[in-house]
Amino acid sequence: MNNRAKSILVLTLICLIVTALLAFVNLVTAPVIEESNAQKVQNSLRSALPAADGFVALDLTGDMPTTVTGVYQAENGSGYAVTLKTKSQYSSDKMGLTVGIGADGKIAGIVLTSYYESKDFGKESYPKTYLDADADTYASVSLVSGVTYSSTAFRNAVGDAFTAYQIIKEAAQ
Amino acid sequence: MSKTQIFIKGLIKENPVLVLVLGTCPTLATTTSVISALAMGLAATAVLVCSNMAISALRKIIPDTVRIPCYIVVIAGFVTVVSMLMQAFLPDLYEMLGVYLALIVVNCIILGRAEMFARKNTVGDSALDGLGMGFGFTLALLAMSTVRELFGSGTWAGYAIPYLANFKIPILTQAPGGFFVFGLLIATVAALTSGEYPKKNSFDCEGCPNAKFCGRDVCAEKESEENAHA
Repeated sequence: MNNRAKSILVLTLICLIVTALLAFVNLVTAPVIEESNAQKVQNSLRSALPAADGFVALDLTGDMPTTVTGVYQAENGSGYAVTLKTKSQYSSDKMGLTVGIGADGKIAGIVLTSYYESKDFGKESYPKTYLDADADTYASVSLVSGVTYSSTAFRNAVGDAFTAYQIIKEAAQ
Repeated sequence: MSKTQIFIKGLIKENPVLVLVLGTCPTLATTTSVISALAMGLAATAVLVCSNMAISALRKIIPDTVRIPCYIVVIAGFVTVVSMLMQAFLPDLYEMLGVYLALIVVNCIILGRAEMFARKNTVGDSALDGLGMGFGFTLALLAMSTVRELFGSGTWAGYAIPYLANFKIPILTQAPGGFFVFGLLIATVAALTSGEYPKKNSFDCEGCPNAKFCGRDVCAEKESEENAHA
């Protein structure tokens, strides 16, 4: 076998073996990751809307912004929680957040559920700057210097949460 | 070289971070806290041992012309495995390390050891080399993160240290402080080892991908210049 054919064959075989290994590990870890993510969403709903005693998942209509992954209604009528995924700057993993909007239309809590960027805009502190903002005032919250791409994505996602909130409210009327 | 020497050389004498100055990016990025530094060190050690063993086992099969792509595929495979396992079973650490976990693929230590050691030695020796280098990397990260977290945040592994918590030096947790501590540690190791660095034959032309193009004369010129200065 000539050298070129051997090179192609060996590289292809190594790629196939590594792919098989990854498929096997994915088979083992995927259910665990899924369960862990679901648990994280449930925890984030409780943190974003502490007044709620339970949540009911609502169907997403076609008009929802593409960043919205779920809308949940509090069983005691204290508001809605919206889960979102949006692209941040460098990481291929999306930024995730849960926005809790009270019955008065103001933000009751925001939780950053995933953020993989190397530049941190304050995972705990930045979401708190949006507390009590409503659909008219959220856009006036400042961005973070040096992390403008991700903080802009965060602010736009908050706007999408208000859009989802409006759609759900109008559908309920 | 005995098995013990293969293992021990990575700890101080040929420490990948503080002597060979490899893997600087994760070293500076993840040493703001002891927990993230330890997690990065152990994740890189796992990848280093596995990739060294796999590359050593395949060394007679892999043609020279495609060895670098083959190494990259093997290393990327192991990094993805470690990443998936951490996401499933250690989600907090996975989030703490963020993008730097995936960046282990391009860590110079791993490709460097594959090229310099694993492709020329047995599986057992390559595993020992990976373990020694991995522990050396972890040790360096632990030392650096201890200084940065202790004096920069007044905590160690998240626990507040009574007196230091009131006299923090926050710049140590930022990039300039990282470079400063990095420099201090390199100086300390140089003083401890009397400034001895690995012999040139550890980095000879045989393992250099550019040797074919430079005609193997660049290093020879440099060596003769060094000898002339000496």
